[in-house]
Amino acid sequence: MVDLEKSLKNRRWQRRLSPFPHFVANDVFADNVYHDLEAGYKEIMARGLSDHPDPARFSRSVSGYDVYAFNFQAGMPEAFEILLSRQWHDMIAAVAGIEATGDVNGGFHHHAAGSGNGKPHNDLNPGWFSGEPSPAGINLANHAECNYHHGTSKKSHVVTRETVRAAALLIYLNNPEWKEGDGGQTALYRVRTQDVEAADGHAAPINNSLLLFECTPHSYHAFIGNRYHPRNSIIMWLHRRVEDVVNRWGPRAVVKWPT
Amino acid sequence: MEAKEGILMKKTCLLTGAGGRLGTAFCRLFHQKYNIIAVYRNRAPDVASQLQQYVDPLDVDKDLPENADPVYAVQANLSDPGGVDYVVDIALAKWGGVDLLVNAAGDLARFNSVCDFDTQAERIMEQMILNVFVPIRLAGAVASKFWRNRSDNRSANRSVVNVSSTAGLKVYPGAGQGYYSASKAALNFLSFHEAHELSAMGVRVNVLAPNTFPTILSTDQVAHGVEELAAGDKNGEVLVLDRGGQHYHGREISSGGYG
Repeated sequence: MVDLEKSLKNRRWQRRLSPFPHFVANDVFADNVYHDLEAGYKEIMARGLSDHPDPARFSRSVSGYDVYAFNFQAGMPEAFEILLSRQWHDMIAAVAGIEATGDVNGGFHHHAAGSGNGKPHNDLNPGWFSGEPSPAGINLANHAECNYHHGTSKKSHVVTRETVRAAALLIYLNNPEWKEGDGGQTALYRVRTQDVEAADGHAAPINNSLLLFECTPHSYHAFIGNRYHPRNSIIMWLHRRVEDVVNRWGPRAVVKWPT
Repeated sequence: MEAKEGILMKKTCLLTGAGGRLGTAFCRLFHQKYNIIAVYRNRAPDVASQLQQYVDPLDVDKDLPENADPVYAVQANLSDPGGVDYVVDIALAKWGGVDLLVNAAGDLARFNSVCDFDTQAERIMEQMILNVFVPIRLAGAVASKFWRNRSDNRSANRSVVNVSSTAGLKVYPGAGQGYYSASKAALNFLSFHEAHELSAMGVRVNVLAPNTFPTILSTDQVAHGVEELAAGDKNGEVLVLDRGGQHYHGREISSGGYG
């Protein structure tokens, strides 16, 4: 049973308004919880890196993005149970101010030193799921069963369901001490067309810190290239119903994935 | 706070360097006593302001004491032409006056050798402008725009606190602090002259000279030093905060002539 009262160290997260509403917090988890998360991350890293898509280890599986990624999946180290709990899901949804479906996708991102900049994007993308969340649990994306981007399935009996990303959460861990000039931040922008290096805000990859924001048409963000050290993080998304997005921002707001 | 026509009036503080350790500590400790205009260059102060508030992730609707009496954060480069007038005009527009000016913005840059001026001239001049001339210009701008009534100034105990350093009083050899030290020594002496001139208008000017914080002194100690000078009645004094405690270091005023 996850006990967030005991697991959280920082009960004062900052809600910032510029360049778009987002939350940042340092010292998020209690020391023992953070230690276990970092140990779990290292355990997966120890399986090695693959330059070709490989669901069993960190691999170059995100098209057009200079990252090694590993998706959340069954059989992960026990330390990550907290992030896959309904309590965590509901807390993140409450902080972000969203009505979430209980569907979760996420994973681990490793940017080797010297990784290039990303491009500003808003994460207001579709997320497809099979299965349903239970009131007491979450529904974790099953990539073997359902293509998260397009909802296709190799199994004919699988029914898939479209949602839209509602909140994005980054947790920074297993990084060397960060200082100005190292790069590796998550940069925040007012508009998509801004020069990636001319951000209006940053979240630095400081261990045991987080960045959280509601995915909206204006939540532009990008990875800033890390010059000297690797950058490691956990990324996860909560989701909302398609009609909620259409009612709020219109039918063209959702940014479809490339086919 | 002061009673004026039966209403409790909070004093207004124009604080520079609000995004630094000292500025943030001052905001945190004294945001209930002062309406603070918190001027920062790159990083907003880590306190509640119009830009950010705090949220308890496990009780998002809870009223948190940290969110009461938010500071008003103003981003500005005080070394830019117009930067000084810009922040003074904002302070006057927002709160109608300035009772306390705290010059806590500082450039801590160190240089290899004082003899190696030419290769570092531009950077050295930047340091001099921020550490020496900006504090003096700010006081001049507030004086010309608001401190026009001696009686009001005295009854409100209006004052300036310039944050200097023990490096402006003694030499720390081999620390690369030659120009920094000179800038703080210059600030001390300009403050003495300013104290003499502004006393005619009923405004006090003092200097705080702390040793290194947060290593040798706690940042809160230094913030309380600022408040001691602001709340007291001293004029033209240096409050030295050092390893062994604190003491006042007065100016020596010539009885006549000039040096």
